[in-house]
Amino acid sequence: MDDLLADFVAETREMLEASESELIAWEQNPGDRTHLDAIFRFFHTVKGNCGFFDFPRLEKLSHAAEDVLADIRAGRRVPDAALVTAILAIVDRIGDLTDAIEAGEEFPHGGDERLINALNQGDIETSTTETEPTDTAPGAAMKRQEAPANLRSIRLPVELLDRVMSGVSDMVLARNDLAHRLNEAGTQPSIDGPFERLSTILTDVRDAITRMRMQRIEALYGGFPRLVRDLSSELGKQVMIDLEGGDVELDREMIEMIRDPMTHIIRNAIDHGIEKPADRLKAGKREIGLLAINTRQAGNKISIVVSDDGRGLDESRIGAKAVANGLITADQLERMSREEILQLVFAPGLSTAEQVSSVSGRGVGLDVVRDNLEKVGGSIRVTSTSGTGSLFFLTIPLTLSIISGLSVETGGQRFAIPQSYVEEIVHMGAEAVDYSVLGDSALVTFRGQRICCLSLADVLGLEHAVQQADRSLVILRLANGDIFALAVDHIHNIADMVIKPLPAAIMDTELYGGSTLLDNGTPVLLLDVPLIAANAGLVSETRAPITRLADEQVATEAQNRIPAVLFTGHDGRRMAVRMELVQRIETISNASVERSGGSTRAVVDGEILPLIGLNEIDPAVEKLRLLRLSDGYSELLFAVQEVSDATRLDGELVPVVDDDLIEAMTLVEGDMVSLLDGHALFSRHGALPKPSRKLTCSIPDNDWARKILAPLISSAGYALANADADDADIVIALDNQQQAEHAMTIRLRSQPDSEVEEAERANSIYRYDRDGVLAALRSISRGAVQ
Amino acid sequence: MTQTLVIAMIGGRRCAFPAEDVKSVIETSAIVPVPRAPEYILGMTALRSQALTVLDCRIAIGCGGEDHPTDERTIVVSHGGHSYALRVDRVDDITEAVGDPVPVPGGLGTQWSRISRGMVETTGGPALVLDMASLITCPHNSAAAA
Repeated sequence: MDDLLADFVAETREMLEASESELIAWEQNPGDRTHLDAIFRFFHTVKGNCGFFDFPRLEKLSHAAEDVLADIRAGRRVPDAALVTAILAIVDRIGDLTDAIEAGEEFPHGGDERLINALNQGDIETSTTETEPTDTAPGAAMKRQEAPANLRSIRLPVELLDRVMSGVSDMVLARNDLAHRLNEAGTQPSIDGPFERLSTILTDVRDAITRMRMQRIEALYGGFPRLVRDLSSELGKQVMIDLEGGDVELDREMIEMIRDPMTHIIRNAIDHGIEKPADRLKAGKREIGLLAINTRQAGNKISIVVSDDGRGLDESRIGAKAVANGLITADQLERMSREEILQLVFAPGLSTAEQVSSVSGRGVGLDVVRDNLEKVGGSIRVTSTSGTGSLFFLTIPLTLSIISGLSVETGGQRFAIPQSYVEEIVHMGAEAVDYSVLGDSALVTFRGQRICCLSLADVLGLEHAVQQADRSLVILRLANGDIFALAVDHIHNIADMVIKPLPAAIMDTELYGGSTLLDNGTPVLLLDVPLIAANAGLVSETRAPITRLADEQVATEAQNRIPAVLFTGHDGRRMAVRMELVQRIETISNASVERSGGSTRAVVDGEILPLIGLNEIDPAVEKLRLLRLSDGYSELLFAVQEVSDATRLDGELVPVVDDDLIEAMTLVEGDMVSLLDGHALFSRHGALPKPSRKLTCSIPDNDWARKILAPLISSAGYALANADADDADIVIALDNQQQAEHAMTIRLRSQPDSEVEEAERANSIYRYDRDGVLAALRSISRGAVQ
Repeated sequence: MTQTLVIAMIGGRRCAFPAEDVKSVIETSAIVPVPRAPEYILGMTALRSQALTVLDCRIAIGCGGEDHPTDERTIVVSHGGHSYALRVDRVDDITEAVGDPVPVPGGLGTQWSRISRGMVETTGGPALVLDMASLITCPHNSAAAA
């Protein structure tokens, strides 16, 4: 609220200054409407703001002035010098009151009436009123002088911020260009250091500038309580608004972009959602309806949930209306779930309100809301429980100008695709894709559904540079749920891209949304995915729900399937392991495997882990492929001959009893596959993360070790022992300190890695290499537990 | 009033760009084509980490002569918040205008009059003064369609 108040004061003061000169100009030339309009707007704005902040005196003053000006505008009154003086007196008084508000003081009462009367009479009496403000003027003037000293903020035109922002964006691009050139020139320590620093500073500056453009979403929410109050009284309802997460910040421009959609959703909720008090009581609810707006930031997205506890959406009415309006057929409706039917409220040409009220039903529907949100890269979805309320989920990006983009290549040229559209990337050669051409359309299969496949080369009038089977498919999902595939030659990387607008002549191609520069300075065009889809006839509103329907089915089906990695074990068996267990696939040399007693271990990344799945080590095989599995606490390695695929197991799982490491057998494309039993695997072989008793660790006897090393060691879960303790499990020695030979010794040294010989590097760990020290401790403790 | 002009040859004609409109004259490096863009847009190029749209003035004007040899130097101008690199036959000279632009006796022909405000005398002879806005925003119709 304080921020808003400060805004109000600053805005009022700014307008005061402007309006004074307008007033004078108007006095000199009373026939000039533009000055009059400007003054009128000033009073009007002040009046509006006052109502919001509850400053009755300001409101009364500005209201009176506005009335008089309205009369003049309408030609009912002719302005004279006395009237102008009276208006100026009001301007002064508003200024004084504003100062008092800022200082948090009470302004002496009285005098307002006289000023207002002076307006209405417009006679010479104003001279008395004119002297009146001067009584208080000295104090006010002093305050006004003090005010600037207290100001800790300045108001800047947004254009200036934009200019700085674009300058910084250009600097980032220039930096990238330079980085690329430096890279090509090879390592040059004398330049690389300063360049690194420059990069870091630039990143900081960019963050700061981005934040400068950020505004708390409160700036938008500030007007909602009033909106809700006015609307509910107009409709004879009682609604309470609950705003949460107003401190979430987002780009100013973005706030403006979502202002209308948010307002519309609120209107909608109050008009259609929340019932009249009597109806609410009948339904067993509180008389007062609740409208809650919850905002939070998730990565570079903002999610807003608008919920009301009204009657909720009636899917049967929505469905019936959609059929009546020809959006879908009755047949399709039959097959749609409640959830899908609800999303039809965003389809154009659907309005369920039986009566068009003054509030909603102005021809702007939720379809416009969805369109506007999609335009800025956002999305909207609704869920609802009949009788208890509805929830609208909005997702919007944090800023407009920097997006995460996927860069692809076709016909030897690079293009960028906004990552928000990218659902998945599939290799065209993969069997599951099943490419087929019907008439002029190409279709591919994606998650069990045939979707249209566009060739980027055809869209752009280029030639593909690689064979059909070597191309990649980018599966794109539009904000309304439509999916299609785009065939490209190569996929490059995903990067943050600073998007610049394109001139109209290029925009007219309806293919591109902007341009960005790659690290090497080459311009790249950003594809306008929704427009490309629309021009290819892929977006039809009537089709959207059906695609969603099919998609939904696939999704539920997919839930029943188990994601798994298929591989062939060393015994030649085809096996599978649940995807969640697999951390990564490792390749190690045969030499790092060690057998002792009945168990086998291997060293991976400096850690000793149990290895299973290997009966005999074939000395002829130099490299071993391993699956690194984890249950979240402990890890183990499973040796495999070959990892074949990642898939979803959709066949029936047949439990197996005679092999306790196998959970079940199933069929994958006709082949028998054994699914590893994660529980049995880890209960038998998993390396425990924590030893049953704390291992003791002796540290050197010096200040550094006691003050700096000791806290690290004990926080890692080891008991400390003195340097001379001979029963310690682990001994840490610093530099060349002499130590009784101990199997579990970790040697630390004071010199960083860059200052010592290769041999020394392998032998000891730099004492501030925290990860290195912890890893060494971990690998010893794992070994000790086994 | 004297005005500094950048003189360039376009389709074999001597043309003048007001110097305050010209940001720089550069040699374009790699030009990335823009598929499906009108013919007069040659593509995009980068200047000091800024993307420029490269236009061929000869196609944009529709005066023919795009087969005139070009020296790969382009004139960088800014219009409507976008930067453009204009390809011409060659960039000739920087000179002072002698007098204000005047209509050309006998007219310019439709294609040229669309983008020119008239001619101006310079020390090196007369030159057509080009209007940047109409050159960039309103390309010759048949050229755009071609």
